Amino acid sequence: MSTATTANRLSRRRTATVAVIAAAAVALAGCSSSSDEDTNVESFTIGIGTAPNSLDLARHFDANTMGYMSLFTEPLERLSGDGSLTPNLAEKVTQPSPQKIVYTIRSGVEFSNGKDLTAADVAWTIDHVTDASGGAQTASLTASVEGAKVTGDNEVTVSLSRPDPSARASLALVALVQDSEFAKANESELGQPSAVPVGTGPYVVTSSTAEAVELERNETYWGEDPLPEAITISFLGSDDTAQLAMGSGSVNGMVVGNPVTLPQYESVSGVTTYSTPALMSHYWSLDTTSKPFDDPHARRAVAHAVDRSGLMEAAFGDSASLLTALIPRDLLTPIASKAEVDDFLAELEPVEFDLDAARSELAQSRYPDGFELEVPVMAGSWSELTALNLQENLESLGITITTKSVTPQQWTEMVFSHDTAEMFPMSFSAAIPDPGLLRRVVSEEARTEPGGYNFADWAPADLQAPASSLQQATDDKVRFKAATAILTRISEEVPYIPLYQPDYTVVLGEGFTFTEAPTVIEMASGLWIQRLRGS
Amino acid sequence: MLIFLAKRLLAMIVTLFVVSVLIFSLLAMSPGSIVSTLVGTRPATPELITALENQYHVNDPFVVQYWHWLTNAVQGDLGNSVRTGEPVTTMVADRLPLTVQLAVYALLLVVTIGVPFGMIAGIRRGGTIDRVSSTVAIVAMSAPAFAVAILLIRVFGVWLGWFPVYGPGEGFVERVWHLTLPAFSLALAMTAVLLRQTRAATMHVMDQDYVTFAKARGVARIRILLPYALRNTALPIITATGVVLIVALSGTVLVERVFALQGVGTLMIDSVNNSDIPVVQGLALFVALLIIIVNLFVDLVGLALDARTRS
Repeated sequence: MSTATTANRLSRRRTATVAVIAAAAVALAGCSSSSDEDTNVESFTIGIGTAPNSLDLARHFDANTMGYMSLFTEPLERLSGDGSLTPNLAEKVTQPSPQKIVYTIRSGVEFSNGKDLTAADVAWTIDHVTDASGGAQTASLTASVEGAKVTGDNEVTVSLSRPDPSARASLALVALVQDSEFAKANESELGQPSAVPVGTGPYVVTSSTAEAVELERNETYWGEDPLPEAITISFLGSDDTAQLAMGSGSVNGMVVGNPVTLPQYESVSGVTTYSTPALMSHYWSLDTTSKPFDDPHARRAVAHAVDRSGLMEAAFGDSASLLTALIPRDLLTPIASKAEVDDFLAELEPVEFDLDAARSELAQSRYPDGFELEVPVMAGSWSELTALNLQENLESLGITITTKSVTPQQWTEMVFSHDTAEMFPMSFSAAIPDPGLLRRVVSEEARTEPGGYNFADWAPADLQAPASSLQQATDDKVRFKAATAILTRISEEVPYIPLYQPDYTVVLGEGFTFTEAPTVIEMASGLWIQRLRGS
Repeated sequence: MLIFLAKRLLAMIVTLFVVSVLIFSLLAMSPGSIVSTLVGTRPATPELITALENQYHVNDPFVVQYWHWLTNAVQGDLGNSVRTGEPVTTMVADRLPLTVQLAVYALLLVVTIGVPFGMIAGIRRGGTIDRVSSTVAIVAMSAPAFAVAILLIRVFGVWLGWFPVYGPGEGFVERVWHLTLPAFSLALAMTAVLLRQTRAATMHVMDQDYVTFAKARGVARIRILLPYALRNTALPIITATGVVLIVALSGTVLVERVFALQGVGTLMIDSVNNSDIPVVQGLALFVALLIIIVNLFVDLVGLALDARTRS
């Protein structure tokens, strides 16, 4: 569910009224073609936290950066937040067998340097973003891709090493097609300001500095031009600066980095907030193979002691929701109907905050007198808040929790080296709307393999087949059954304590609106620019 | 004079050597292996690991590693960023001009405001200007630069709309316009310090017998102020100015962050946050070199101004 709110120091009721009017206006705008006002937007400036390391996706893979990479280098298909795919540079896509994807490339498309788009460019791009040995950051998402070959004038065939139901969506997200000749000629510097990738998108990069990336309309673009003639992406670093920049009118939009600062943006006159649930989970991972969490009662005792609702506002303001299952609802809806998903989630019984229940669970455990734990936390984050909450709530039960502060870099190193603690704060985010990443928290291999998040060391034998189905089965029903089996067991045995699903939030200043709030996937795939309107 | 210069240059080389050892030790002291630190967030491919092992001679003793690093550094090769893969020298060279421009702009503000007001306050001790400037100076000294920056942005950027609130601007005029608020933020506390320093030096000079005699002889006020007072207060002021420039360079870290200026300060924060040790090493080396050069320059100016220092 997405939300859009306008904040200009109005009361909640007035704000709601304005939001309804705005929504009606947006709906009307959506029903009609772009107005004259819409076609006259000369420039649009959007702020983002930090500058990318590279403008080549294989060397810098994150959703915010993709939000403008996908404006000058386009995907074969555009991926939506609900998992649906829209033809783009590929006018037709078929899967003649579970291990083949065939792309028919749109003819008559030119790169911004005037060269024709060819099947060879597409094949090179797919090989480039799936090249694990070359260090492509996108390679882990496309591990099943063996290679791409030109199989016709306008045809590229991708071979998969195994059936992979998410391969097409993954390629839709990360295969941003580049001029292969330019890329090969500038291989070592590709993505740096001196060698910005050349694409076919609606915009072309005119300047790339540490402060900003500037885009201008690509005069040879094959599709319908988006609204702004020029776009500037400014790297503003802090939310304070961004909020002041929006107040001065020098920035028209901002991807909000810290949700707690959202009220600051909303205090700026004329600002509209667009929030959608991010495909992200924050949770605690409990090591089920070592004391004290080798006992499920001890795990449940700790889970009962977290005041999830009470802490949510302190950690995220109004920009998050409680997780019912370990993964967000939106990762299940692409493989089952919304009713099926909601019915399943309604049946799950998340462990509620109840200190009496915690005491009772602890008494039934092998550690009735309590235990001591050292918990790594990141200062100022949800992990610190929940750890301090547990520290206080569990003290009377004889459980002593001490916190150990770690930097985000140290946390990342702990995750990648699998050097985690008995109780570890974990966050993961799905690159595509698909439940496949559940395999990473439950499979035997995920205990040790790079990219595995099975820090609970919890791999029940009967869940290995469902985990494999999630990765390889092509039947949605089979995959949904596998996902629900895993999530149900997680809810019962509590190797992980699901906590929060944060929102992805973009704010727009006076003069701009979105016809519909873009999800993080729609931001990354470049669909957001099609929804931007001048007002 | 030449002997003095030779001594100072020798001291400069020794200082740089000590600093370089400390800076290189950053890599050895970072948690985990040297290679894992240098790999950073990049995928640890066998090719990358081999290249880094060869480049940093990780299997050699510390002294040999340092020697290789030093000889490369002297030739302008400080390695590559673990985040972007760009040469550190290029990154620092791209960012340094903006930081130096900001620091110099702030220094100009400090000197053009702090010295005249300090002198007037020193000459008219107890007068209105002295009382007002002393009070303002105390307030200014206790105001953190980042807080001043946010206040200035809100008033002059958001409410009045006179100045841009972020970014460096392009071209000379745009750059000056964009750097005005950051430079004022940076200069405020330092202006107060220099004003107090100048006031104290001026008061001391104005109490000297030669000034009293000059006044008694009916020497014009402007002559007393310039050749007598300014020249004799110049040495402590120049020394303080050197310190101000160094503080300005290091103070840019927070101000650049607030104004989204991608200078050396922002690069330092990003590099420390991402454990980009080669960049941190490069920045530390450049800043140390800059500080040593500023100190040498201050000493040379002091020599030129005051013959007593030449002995």
